[in-house]
Amino acid sequence: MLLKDMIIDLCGLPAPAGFEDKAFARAKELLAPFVDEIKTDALGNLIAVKKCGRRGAKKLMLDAHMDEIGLIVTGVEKGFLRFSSIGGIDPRMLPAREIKVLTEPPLFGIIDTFPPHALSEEDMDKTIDAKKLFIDIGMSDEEAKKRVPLGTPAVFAGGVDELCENVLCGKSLDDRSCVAIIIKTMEALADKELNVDVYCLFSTQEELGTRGAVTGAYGINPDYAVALDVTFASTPDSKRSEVLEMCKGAAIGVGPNMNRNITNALIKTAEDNGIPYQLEIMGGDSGTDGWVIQVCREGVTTGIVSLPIRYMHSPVETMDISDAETIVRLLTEFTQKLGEDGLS
Amino acid sequence: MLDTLKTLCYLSGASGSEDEVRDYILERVLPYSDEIVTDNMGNLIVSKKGKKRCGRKILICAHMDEVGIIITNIDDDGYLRFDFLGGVDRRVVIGKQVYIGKDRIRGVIGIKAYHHVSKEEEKSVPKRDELYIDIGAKSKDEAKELVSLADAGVFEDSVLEFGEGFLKAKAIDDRVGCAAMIKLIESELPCDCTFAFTVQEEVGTRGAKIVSARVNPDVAIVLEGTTAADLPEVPEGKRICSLGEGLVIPFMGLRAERTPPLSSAAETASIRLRFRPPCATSIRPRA
Repeated sequence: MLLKDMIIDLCGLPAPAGFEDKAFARAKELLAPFVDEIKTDALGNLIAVKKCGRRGAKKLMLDAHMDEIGLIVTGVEKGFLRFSSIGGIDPRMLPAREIKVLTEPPLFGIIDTFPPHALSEEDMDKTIDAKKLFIDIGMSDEEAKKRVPLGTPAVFAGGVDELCENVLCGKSLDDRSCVAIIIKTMEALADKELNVDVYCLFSTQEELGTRGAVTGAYGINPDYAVALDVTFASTPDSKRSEVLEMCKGAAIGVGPNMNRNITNALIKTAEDNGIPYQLEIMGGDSGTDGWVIQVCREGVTTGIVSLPIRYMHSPVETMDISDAETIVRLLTEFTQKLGEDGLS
Repeated sequence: MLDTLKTLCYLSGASGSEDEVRDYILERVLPYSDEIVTDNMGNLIVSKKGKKRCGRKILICAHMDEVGIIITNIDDDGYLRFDFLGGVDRRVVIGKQVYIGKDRIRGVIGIKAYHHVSKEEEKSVPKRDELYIDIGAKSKDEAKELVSLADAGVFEDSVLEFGEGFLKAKAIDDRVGCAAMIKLIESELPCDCTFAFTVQEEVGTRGAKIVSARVNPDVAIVLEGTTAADLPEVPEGKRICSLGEGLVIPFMGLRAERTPPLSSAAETASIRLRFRPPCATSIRPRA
């Protein structure tokens, strides 16, 4: 399967933090041909390994999170669903938003919005308080209460498709695009001689505070880790100093959250192989699984590679497929270069 | 009629660019009409004879256009700037998709990542001139190959039924009126009627103005989508109209003697009526 098709496939699945089972099942199916073993843990992480066949081999862990931001139903009033968010959602993204309510089978819903005819100009300058919004599922109170138990999660409706050639747009590119990148990397490594055991951690609950990665990394106990997540690509309303660029290649993280030796090795791999990359300088918390992985157990040598996307945490997250391809190449080359002693 | 409505809602017809809608309607009504005129603004006027002549000239009216956007500038980076066609709440366009021009070029109205939004920024809504459309073009030149200035666009266009008998679509305002008129034209009428599918209602009921001068009717009935705010956070008195409670006859803003015949006709046909008070508005969007 092409990387592009795999991203579209995975992002189309509903998997808000804490409810990742659908993403788990599909990722497992896609990854299975390229690894020796796949298991899970109590938090629902997907943990896979491809053994190199050497005894006492070092362990490299590639990490991306499966979960996405979402909503959770907290009440039913007059047939409308009251909700809270799962993870960080800009309240300005909510009015008139199409929603998939994750009952079985899922229900279509739309977040309500007051008709403009009855609003003043000043009303329209102010963000609607998310607490005043409801999901309209077009049902009577009785039917809604019967069909939608409290605690039912929901996600933005729709998936990902091509905005124009090679540009993908939709929900949950954060971070299922990176899940796809890892699967494609494992595919590329399938018939290669390696000196290390390669573990994949598709973590859960990143959006609630990198919770899956805490237990996942602890269980795997890797020597090295590369955490893959999305990062900010420039948009007309963002500060240039806070963002990277789309179409400029893999973003290699530099800063205290990333061990210098693995960062340098990633940069050298990119340089040696002519792989486009950009540096992402982060003074503190990278906001990725890498933050907790690095200080897992007695410490894990951790690098962070990111995919620049626009409009993060929206239903119209936007990426360029060429950037994702650079990351697959970078990880493939980097993993093959690791010696018996790991980073030399 | 539901299928007709769904088809009509899917078509693009922002104010001033109603061609797709008009072409479809024309094709549908042609076999059932006695006379069809498209005037110089694009209004489609259809006359149909009924079982008998009526003493007075009757005009039934609905608008074909919908609210949308118009491209006003293309940035050096390939982003598009736009203005609204008709009254649109800026708060509902954020993070939405649009389809631009005849080729239906897809774009999205993004805002920067929430991670970079301050508590202050979160409370305010970007001004119209701060919003932009991303069509995935990497430069102005690339964007210009796909989109031209003044191209019109429409909003997300999925049409679907949901819940207990609800329909979700853009442009229900006022394709629902158009669908009803198509149905009427396809039926046998009790008397002669003229039907006008009008343009540019959303930017100021401009099509209807010249239609009425041309047709010069004695009686006019306007079919429209209207405002329902039957939402949990809206107090009972401010809900205007509610879904599922029958068709709506406004009792103010019309000359009072015009409504009783409609009410009694509805009574005869056992149709539930709801009388609509005018809604308070300072921005004057058109239904």
